[in-house]
Amino acid sequence: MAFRYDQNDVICGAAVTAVGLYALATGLSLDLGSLRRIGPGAFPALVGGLLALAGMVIVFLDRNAQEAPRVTINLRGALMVLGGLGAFAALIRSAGMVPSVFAAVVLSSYADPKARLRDALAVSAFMSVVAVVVFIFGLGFQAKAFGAY
Amino acid sequence: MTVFESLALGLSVALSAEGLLYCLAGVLLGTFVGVLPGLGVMATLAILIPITFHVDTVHALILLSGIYYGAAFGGSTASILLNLPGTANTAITCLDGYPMARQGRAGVALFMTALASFVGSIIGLTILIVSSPLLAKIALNFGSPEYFSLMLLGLLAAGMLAQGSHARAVASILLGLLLGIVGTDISTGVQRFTFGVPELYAGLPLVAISLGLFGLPEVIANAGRPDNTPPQTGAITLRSMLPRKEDLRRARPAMLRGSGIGAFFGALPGTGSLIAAFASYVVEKKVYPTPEIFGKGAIEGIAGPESANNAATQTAFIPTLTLGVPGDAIMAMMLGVMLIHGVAPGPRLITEQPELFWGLAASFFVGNLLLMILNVPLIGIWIRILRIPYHLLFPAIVVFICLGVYSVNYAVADLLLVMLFGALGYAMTLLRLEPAPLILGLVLGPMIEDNFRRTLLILRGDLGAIADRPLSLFFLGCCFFVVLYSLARPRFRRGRGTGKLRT
Repeated sequence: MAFRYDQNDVICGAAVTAVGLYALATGLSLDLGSLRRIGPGAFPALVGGLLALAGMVIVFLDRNAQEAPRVTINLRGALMVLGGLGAFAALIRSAGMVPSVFAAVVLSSYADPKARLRDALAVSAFMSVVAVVVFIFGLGFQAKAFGAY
Repeated sequence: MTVFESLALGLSVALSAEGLLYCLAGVLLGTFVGVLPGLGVMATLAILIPITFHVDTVHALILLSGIYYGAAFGGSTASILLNLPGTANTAITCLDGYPMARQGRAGVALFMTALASFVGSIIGLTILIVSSPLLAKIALNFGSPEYFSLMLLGLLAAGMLAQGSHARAVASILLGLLLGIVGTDISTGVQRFTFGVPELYAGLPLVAISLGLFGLPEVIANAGRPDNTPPQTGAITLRSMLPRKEDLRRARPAMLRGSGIGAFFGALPGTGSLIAAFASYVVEKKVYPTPEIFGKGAIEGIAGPESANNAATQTAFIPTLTLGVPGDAIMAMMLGVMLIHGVAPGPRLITEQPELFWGLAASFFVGNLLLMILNVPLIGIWIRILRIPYHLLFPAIVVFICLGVYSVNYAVADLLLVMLFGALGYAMTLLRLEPAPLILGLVLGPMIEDNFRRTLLILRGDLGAIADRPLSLFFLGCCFFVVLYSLARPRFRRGRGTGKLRT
């Protein structure tokens, strides 16, 4: 068979093509300029066009498809790790360093399905000390151990 | 300045108390990162870049480069003891290093990889010191057309010579170029892809993107992974590390060949340590009279690739420091750091800031001496580090990522950007789009667009006139060759495969 389809290739190529077409459209809506003095739209349009082309090649011609192992999505891992970051972002201004570190460590620990609260709390305590001593006292990181900065 | 004056100047920077401190910190961290599988060089660099904002440029670079070549040096430990590469570049060392460990020769393998790494680094460093001033002199005559064609070559090579799918690598580079456009256009002031968000007017921050793309997907993919099984080898004593005379005799030519191969691929745009190590392994197997011993603990199989890997990490600095054109993602980050510090690397760097160039080069020498000490007499410590359970390590990495990115501007928006790019990076991993070429595109993007515009201005809109400039024509010829070579390559590979079946 001439073409080997693979779900991964189709999704990847389609996403890349979509981004490329979006950039192409945005580029064309900006000033393209002339060949002698090219405008702000020319480079995005060029990159976008090439990206769309690369996406089509991934969909139809990518020959590595057969070697690809099956993809398993670690949804739990992704959500918990991103959640840990989100908790840090939400707390660092208002609650201070120690609560933020505890929230980030405990949440992200549960990215591992076999996580134990005892281990997570131990790492939190250790990292709180590191963050306060090394970062706040040592490097002048602008935050308080507890409370709003 | 004579060579000796330059070297003396460099050593005075590298051997000052601060220089030594940052060098030691860099190689210590680098070895740590290199030894531990599941913690990458790119992510570590990205975490530490914010810290280096408060440090002198030269010390910042000494620290960050120390991590880079330190990781290349230390990456073989896990390859040998666990059959699990500590960094991607040392994957090839598993092939013969692990069998050596199973045969009870782990100590010898560890010593020989350290020696090979050292030899490779020193040869690579010598080439860096000798060739950089020469190359810089040539590059002084470069105008925009030359830079444009050279950068095009760099990007094409990164896409076309990559392992795996070319289309995906090219797509990743183009995505990087696109992300590099985000912000205010320098020549017209037009907002591009900023969606009316004021935080984006100055462009996307390199630290947030690289942490998102490299740090988070690594953690997500490895979370829940079973902990390393502790190495089965007994205590590694200095005595057990002593190689036999025969080992040294066989390793010597392999190390020299490996260093040459590594130095070549390291300096070339688009290729790097991984390709160098792989090429060295293939060459060693070809020149050896009985290739069957490879994969069963052949000393050449670790000595060649390890010296290639480390020579390449040294010569990778040549195009970055002398031309200002990085060859791979890590060098792109180094360039990004220099730009943040207000240093524009290029042909004038060596003459205008000699203490930076020679200080950095001298620190590479000092750093490699330190690495030899860290990896031979102190190897026991690193073996113990391999026992740190990953489930305790990765939440700590998440905290370091938070602290690193937040400390840049104390902006919550940066943390949100990391989350966004973390999600994007994880999606890219699932779709087998490598994030490394993206970083190269991101850093080179604004430079290549600027030079493209100026080229057309100089040539009065006639792109064909670029052929009148011999150096540009040469670089464009190389581009053409790279494309031709990569299109022809799959056919070669198939030919080799069937050849193997027949024998």
